Amino acid sequence: MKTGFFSILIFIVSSVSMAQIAGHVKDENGEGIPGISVVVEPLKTGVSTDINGKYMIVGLANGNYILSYSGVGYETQKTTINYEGRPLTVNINLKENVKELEGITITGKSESTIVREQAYAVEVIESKGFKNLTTNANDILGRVSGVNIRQSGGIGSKFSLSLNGISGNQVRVFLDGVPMDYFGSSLSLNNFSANLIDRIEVYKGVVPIHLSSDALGGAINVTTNGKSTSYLDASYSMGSFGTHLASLNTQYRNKKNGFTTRIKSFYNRSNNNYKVPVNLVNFETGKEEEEPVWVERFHDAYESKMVWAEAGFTGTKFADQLMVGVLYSDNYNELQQAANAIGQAKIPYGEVATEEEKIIANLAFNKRKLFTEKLSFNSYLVTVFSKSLSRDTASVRYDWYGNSTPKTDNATGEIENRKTLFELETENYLANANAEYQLNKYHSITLNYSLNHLTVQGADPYKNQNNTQFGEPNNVTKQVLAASYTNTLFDEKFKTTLFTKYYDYGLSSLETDYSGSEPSPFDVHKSNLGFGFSTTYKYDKWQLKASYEKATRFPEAIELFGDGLNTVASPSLTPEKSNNYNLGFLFGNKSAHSPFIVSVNGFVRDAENFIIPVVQGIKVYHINNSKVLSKGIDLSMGYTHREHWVLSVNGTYLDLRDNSKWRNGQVGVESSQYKVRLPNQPYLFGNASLSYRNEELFSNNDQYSISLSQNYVYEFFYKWENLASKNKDVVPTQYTTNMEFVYMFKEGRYNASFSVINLWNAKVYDNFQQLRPGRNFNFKLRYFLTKI
Amino acid sequence: MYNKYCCYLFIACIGLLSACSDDDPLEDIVDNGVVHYFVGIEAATDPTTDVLTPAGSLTENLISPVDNGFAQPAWMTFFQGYDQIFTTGYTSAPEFISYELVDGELTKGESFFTDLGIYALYVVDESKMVLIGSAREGQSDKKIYLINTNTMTIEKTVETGFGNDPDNNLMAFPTDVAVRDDKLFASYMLMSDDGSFATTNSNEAKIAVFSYPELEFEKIISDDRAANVGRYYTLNALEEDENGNIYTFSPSSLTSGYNPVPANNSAILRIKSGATEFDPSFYIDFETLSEGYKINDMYYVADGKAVVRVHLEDETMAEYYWAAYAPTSETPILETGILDLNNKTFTLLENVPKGGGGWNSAVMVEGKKLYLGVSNSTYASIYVIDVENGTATEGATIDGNYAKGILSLVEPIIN
Repeated sequence: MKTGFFSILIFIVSSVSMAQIAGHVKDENGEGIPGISVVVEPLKTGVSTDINGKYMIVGLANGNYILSYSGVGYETQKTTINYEGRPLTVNINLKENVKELEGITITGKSESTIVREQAYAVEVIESKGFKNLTTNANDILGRVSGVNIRQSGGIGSKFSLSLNGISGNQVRVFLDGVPMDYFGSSLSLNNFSANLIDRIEVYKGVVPIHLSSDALGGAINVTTNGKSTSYLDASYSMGSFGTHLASLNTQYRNKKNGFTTRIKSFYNRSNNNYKVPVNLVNFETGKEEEEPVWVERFHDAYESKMVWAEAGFTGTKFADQLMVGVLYSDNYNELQQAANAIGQAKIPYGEVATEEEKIIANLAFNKRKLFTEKLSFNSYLVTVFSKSLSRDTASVRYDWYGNSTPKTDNATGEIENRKTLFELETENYLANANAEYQLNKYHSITLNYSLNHLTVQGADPYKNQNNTQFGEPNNVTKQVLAASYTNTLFDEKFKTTLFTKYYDYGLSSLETDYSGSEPSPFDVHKSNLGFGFSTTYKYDKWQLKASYEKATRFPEAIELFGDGLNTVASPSLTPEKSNNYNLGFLFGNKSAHSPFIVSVNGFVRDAENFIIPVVQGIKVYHINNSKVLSKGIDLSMGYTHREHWVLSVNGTYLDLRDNSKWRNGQVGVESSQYKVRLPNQPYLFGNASLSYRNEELFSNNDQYSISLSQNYVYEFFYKWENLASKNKDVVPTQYTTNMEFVYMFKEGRYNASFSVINLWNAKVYDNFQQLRPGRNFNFKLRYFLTKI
Repeated sequence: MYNKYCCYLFIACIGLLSACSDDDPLEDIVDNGVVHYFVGIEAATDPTTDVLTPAGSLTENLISPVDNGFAQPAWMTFFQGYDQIFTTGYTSAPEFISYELVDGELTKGESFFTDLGIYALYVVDESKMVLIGSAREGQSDKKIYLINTNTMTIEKTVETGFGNDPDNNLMAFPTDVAVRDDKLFASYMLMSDDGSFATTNSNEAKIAVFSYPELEFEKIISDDRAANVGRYYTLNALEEDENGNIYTFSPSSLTSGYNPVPANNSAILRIKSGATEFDPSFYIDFETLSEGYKINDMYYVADGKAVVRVHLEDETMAEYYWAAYAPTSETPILETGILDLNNKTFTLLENVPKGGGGWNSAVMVEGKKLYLGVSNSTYASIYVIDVENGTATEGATIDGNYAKGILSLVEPIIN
């Protein structure tokens, strides 16, 4: 320890006393490029450029060197220097590498990502390769090792994402660092257009403090395009089942004063009217037809739209980014059938729907070198006003051909024979401030504070219980204060971050009963401490990573005070906790023509106090009772052969076991599920894709690519595998194949793509017996211009 | 609904060979066949996994669904037919599935679906069953379904709006149904039609009477000495004895889901054999008799004796509301006792642990014994209650959350 401290001191002293090489790396438009790695050859030492594209190298002995400048999306450039101990300025202009942008670059930790996060178990997906495809954030995430996404139907349908075996609310999703769950259903992973996405970072198990929230098993951060250039990106696609997706994104930036305006927008619509097999029932006799009939899903349409306008300044002296924005989004989602039915419901819904409308205002301020060279500051303020409506007011019964017959009275709806017209208003305030202070080249500290305040209030003319429960505002306040220390040694080869997080949670709500009478207030206040570390060591082409976090997730508002429908309040819930361990390595051979990258990550999630839903009759309530031990391994691999062929393979094996020895969490009856694999969870899955890309297909300035991707999920038991010996339900092994063709001309200005999803029309079930769409076709046109 | 079957089993059990069960705990032999026992078990939570599990013995050892029995498609109710076992729950609609013995092996048979949720059911005889379907809100008609259990087909559906009180926004919600001779009796509770389950006018016992098998509405009988009969999903509110008398119980408690609690004490009434009115000469004020206990369940066993599950509640404490619907409760409330309906005496069985209750009960009558599922957060087993000797003994342990049904089928011996 002492030696370590002294060596740090020596580094500090030596760095101060030495002269330097400095410079500015810019793109073809003269804009500084952040995150470019500058390597001194043959020493193999190096630095990265800052947000303005500037860099500085210190501590070189006199001599001849080659400086190599490389980064994702740019052609590598080298220059020879003769260093004589005097300060030297080397400015470089890099060319964009269009071919590289086309590919799906999965980088264990690439130059383009933020340097200080390097030690986390993280995968970063550059979405550039997806922008020409009809795809959303979920589709992109589905290709990441360790991630499994299960969707109940087509576009807009309910989905559940699991990351290394931990799923749902336990994994937090962020949009540009802001927790996305507060944006509601109109802005979620399954409708967020790929054209808006710059990259997606997937943090497995251990979450850096700048993503400030409670999470049990990791976080996903979707970042939108924050480039300091002017551009226009417009696309339109159409596909099977009445699917139309459009997006328009544009930014104007005045180079002189940095004044910037941007608009991001999308429109999605789909009828989702694919056919499903139903064994129809004759309700006169109660008997089911022996042969299934293929019927169209007639009430499953989905529509969502968003416009997000921002104005402010980027890349100026007073702020790297100071933007004010307003976002409007809404969605409309029809519900075809009962969510809890086994397979296709015998009686479909024909008029049940949900709607949501949101207005969000945001303010973001980021500045490197605030007041001093060494301080970086990021912050945001977000306010969300949201209105949602759940509607089940039709006293009719539908059949699978879309015919309706009125019921004998008009007091009942379609779901559960009760009407619902539940309007809920939500107000949400989020604030975050993150300050990083670079003590010197070797030490930095970061502080983060976030505040999240939620108020819900609602009314239901049909259900008095809802009126009582939500008649007065219910409030939830969550605060997280976090600090981290990062140590970088041995020419950035060895990097360690230690962090701690303090969570504070407060809730004030009401308790009421079925009849909505006698409400009694209840308040919860809890706090908790979490901590962890991440460390990495790089040696030549190898990188070793290890990380740990004692993670905490607080119960959600819905778990604590119910939803006013069938979810009952469970105010005594305590936080879920998990010890998350990761150990992985990365090998990268960055040869210019045939780069190869492979990463393997082993993990353990030792979780307790899991919050699980318990369904009893008509009610669902939540309890903290299970312990789950999850172990697994993720593999991901990418290989490019002579710039034309790209192969990527990834796979995950999960060993998820119930770790609760006793039933109901109390010593008494030993549980027969102890150490048994958790049901209804895929545990062996992966995908592979092969693409070929080339140019000059029809003219001398065009490019094209064709890809084939294959997904695989091994069969798994729907219920506990050790229980019963007959009639055990299994979700079968599934293979799906997708094919994509992309054509670009005029240097990427005009793009067209055609894709076939589920090429062999395989029967795909993400949920037991609930069929997902069969073979479908999508066609997309995109126009992209970087200079207006 | 178990009574007809009880009589049948009672006859079957006269020739029970006791030595056999010691040597061969797998099955009991009766003079006309071999009895196979089954227990419907909620074996796990998240997702709820119910298993129809063959049981070697109800009186000893562990009954385990591990690698044993039929996985159920959903959260199910298990109930006894004559030579069938039925399970029902919401799969892709409310579904009823039949199981029977084929060459001594439990085999899944036919099934049928109903278009309404079923809250009351009764097995009439070897080939007939009646069900009552209802909404839980509004004033819509209920449906009485007549089922052919051999073909598992709906033979007849009658829509009927009995018992509703639209002026006071109350709906009649069925709590049990029984068929005796040519009459069908449907007990019900009056609850708010806004879906809140509020019971603002439940101080009278009310039963709808229909003709059987025509299923024509005849009348509603009522009695102001006791409150509404049965509770939500009781399935045992109308209990028939050997002589054709039907006994009813009125819970009159928050614990059993009545809020506000009716003024009348928890009580027992009777419809005499052959009559279609409450018997004015019979009334047990159970709360007075037991010094404060209220009835949550009553199972008629034999010789005028019934087993009751009872509780003490504080009507002013909101946490008692629905408290008897928590089979894995950490604060179980139900105690067990024997009620002599003829002599009007009540004996508490102190050695039966407190249970958290549930919806319908896991019970089976065999001779003068009742097998009863008892469970709470740290306990799940079967108790054997002998009404003749007034004793309760612990039987087999359940490897699961709790027993949802105790069932048996007789494999005929073919000579």
